[in-house]
Amino acid sequence: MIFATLEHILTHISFSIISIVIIIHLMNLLVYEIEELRNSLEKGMIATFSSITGFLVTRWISSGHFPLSNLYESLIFLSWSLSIIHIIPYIRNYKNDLNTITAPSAIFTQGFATSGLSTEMHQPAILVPALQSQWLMMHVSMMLLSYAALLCGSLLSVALIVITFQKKTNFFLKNKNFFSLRKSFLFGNMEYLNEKGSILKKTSLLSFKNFYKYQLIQHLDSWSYRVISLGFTFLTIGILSGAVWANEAWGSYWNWDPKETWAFITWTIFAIYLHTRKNSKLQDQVTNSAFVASIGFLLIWICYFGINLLGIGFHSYGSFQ
Amino acid sequence: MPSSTLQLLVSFPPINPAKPLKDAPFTESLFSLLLQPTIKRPSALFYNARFLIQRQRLAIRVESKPRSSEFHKGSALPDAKRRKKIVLFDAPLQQSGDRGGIVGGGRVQNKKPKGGGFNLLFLMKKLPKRVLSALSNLPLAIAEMFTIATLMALATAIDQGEAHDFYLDKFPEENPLFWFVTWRWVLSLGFDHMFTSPIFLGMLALLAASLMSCTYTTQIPIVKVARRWSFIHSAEAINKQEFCDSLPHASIQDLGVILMGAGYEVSQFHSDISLLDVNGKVLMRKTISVNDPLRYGGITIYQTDWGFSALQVLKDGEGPFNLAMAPLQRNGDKKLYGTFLPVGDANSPSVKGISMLARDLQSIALYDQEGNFVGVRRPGSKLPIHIDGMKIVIEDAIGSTGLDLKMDPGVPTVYVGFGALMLTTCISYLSHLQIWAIQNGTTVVVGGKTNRSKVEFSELMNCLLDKVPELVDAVEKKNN
Repeated sequence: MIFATLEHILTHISFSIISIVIIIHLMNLLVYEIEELRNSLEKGMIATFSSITGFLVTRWISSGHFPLSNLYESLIFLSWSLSIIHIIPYIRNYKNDLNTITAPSAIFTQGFATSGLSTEMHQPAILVPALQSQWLMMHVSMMLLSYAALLCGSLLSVALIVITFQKKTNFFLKNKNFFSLRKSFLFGNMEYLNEKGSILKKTSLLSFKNFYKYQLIQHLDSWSYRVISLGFTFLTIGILSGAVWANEAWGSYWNWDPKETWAFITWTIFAIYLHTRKNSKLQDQVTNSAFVASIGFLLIWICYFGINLLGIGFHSYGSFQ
Repeated sequence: MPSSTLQLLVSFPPINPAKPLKDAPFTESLFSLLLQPTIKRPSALFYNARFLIQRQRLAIRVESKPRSSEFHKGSALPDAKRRKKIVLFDAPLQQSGDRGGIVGGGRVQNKKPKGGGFNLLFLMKKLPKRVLSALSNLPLAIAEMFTIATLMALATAIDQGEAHDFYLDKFPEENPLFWFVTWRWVLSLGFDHMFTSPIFLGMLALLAASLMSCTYTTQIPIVKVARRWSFIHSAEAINKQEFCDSLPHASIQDLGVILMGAGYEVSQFHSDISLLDVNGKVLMRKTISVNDPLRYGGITIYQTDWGFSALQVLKDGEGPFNLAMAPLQRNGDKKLYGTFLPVGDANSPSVKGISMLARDLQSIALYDQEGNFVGVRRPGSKLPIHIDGMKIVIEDAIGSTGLDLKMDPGVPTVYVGFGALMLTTCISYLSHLQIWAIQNGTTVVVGGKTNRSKVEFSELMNCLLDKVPELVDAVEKKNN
């Protein structure tokens, strides 16, 4: 009983912290800057991360198995991984602009998990025999980590596309508050890189009005590439460990199960993304690969959620009732 | 000889500076050939150099006056006094039809043999190269991957493996989907069995061919040439056909079926299996459970789900009758089995009887002819129950367990492929730096390259270079 109340408290703590911190951050950015609260987002995310970790550990202790057996737990795990992705650049002292993506994603997934699913799905249940295996930890956690990373990366690419095709470039110069946003984007380094590198790169530096836009796009592109590569590695390991587990449990390593097929489709799309970046023309690389990554965003949701809605096949543990 | 910076963009087999100069005359002739401003016999050059590529253990060191120093992060500084190392052609991984052969400033590659050239033999030798370069084209590979992804998505949308009539219903000719998709399209293209259809397998084979040709033309030469580069690119394992045999409801009595928890949730299924050879001697004995199969001599036996096979009842002392239990659908996945004992004329359409329902092998619920609940009995308890004037004794509940037998000799190969793929994906994350510097008179020209973290690399380079002192002495003859 105590475990249930503890879990309850922890989920509420994490949710409230994220919401408060996001509101503060937005206020700082757009409305009115308070100097002391500048790092509140990062610190708040660390607090959230610890409370979600506490929640997962409590769940693990109370149910006796690794907390990844149904949809609710996997959604909480997803928001946990998103908060990890948020914290890592902060720990390694990169200024990042991932936090605009990860923090709201974490809150949305957690909010959906808590309120969007019926309460009976929250209860920890006994693990069905097919899931009682060491592979559970490795395969499912890798897949969820990869989903988190790929979601971040694809959202960054969507942002990139929106910015590329936005006509109102004066937004970048005239908006006074935007200057503070710009400062956090390591523009100093980007400028240096572009001066040195632009002789070799074939693109022409756009006119001064679009210079900041160009820098922003390059920055987003670089971050998106890094996060997606990381997610791609995890996805590869996740799919292959799932195949090995399937061989151990069901007798064949690939059954063309809908979930497996869609995971493979997601893998293929991100492989296309990585290959598109090796094309010859520089500017084409950025926009084409961003398009591909945006398609990838939809595919991940189909793979993770859409198949669960159908509830067929071997992966029916996560289905809605 | 003028001290120009000469950079030979040639990809050679591995250069080993430690080995003594063996083929000196050959080396010099090659060098003179390559440095000639006009090439008189391009075919000869092509042949010689191609021959060079194929001799894999040739160690070459070329001597010349121009100097270059080569720094490689992490390795010892080689003496660069009088030797010139061949600068490696650091091609990005473009599969744009570059053969892994000679790229000598583009000149050699494009020359065709003139005047007495084009004999058939030469053309035959070029054909595989053409095929290879066509296959290892990057946009082609991307298009292939896209096609495969689309076909797979279609396969989840269209139900696979159904009977012919199903597709006649679903894609009727009178009302075609998207104005032209009828069942003819679906069946002739093989979309009803997409994953074994020729189109899909053909695309997979094409993708595999593209990957292999890319590996052969681009990756392998780079591996041979640049030992310091650790890009390893593995070809993916090709799917193998497996031989699978499934024996559902083999009537082996479960030993130790465990039922647990309220609501009859099952924790694990076990079967105790003994393997006997032809003489009846016990070879192996093991209790298998769901994630723990039995392996012997290439055959693996897996535990699958359990079922309820039959119920043995005695009616009014007659019998025992074996009534087959049928699984009943209920929402959720809790199992329910039922059977029916007819009373009266069994062939009349409105036959009445006694229904028995069971969730597991331990308790059977009995209902009378009107469908009212009468009682619960445990099989084997020998306790009779009286329904509608009949005495029913439930003798036994016969369960069944599923066993899957499988033989798949290709699994170790596939596992090796998996392992290689995982390993290489992780390895591609290691970041390498290469810094090249050339002393050009009094100026030092520095170039660098990294494969990861490009943004921080330039910052790092700038910090390093800021530390290089500026020499103000005019006399620089000592720089050898």
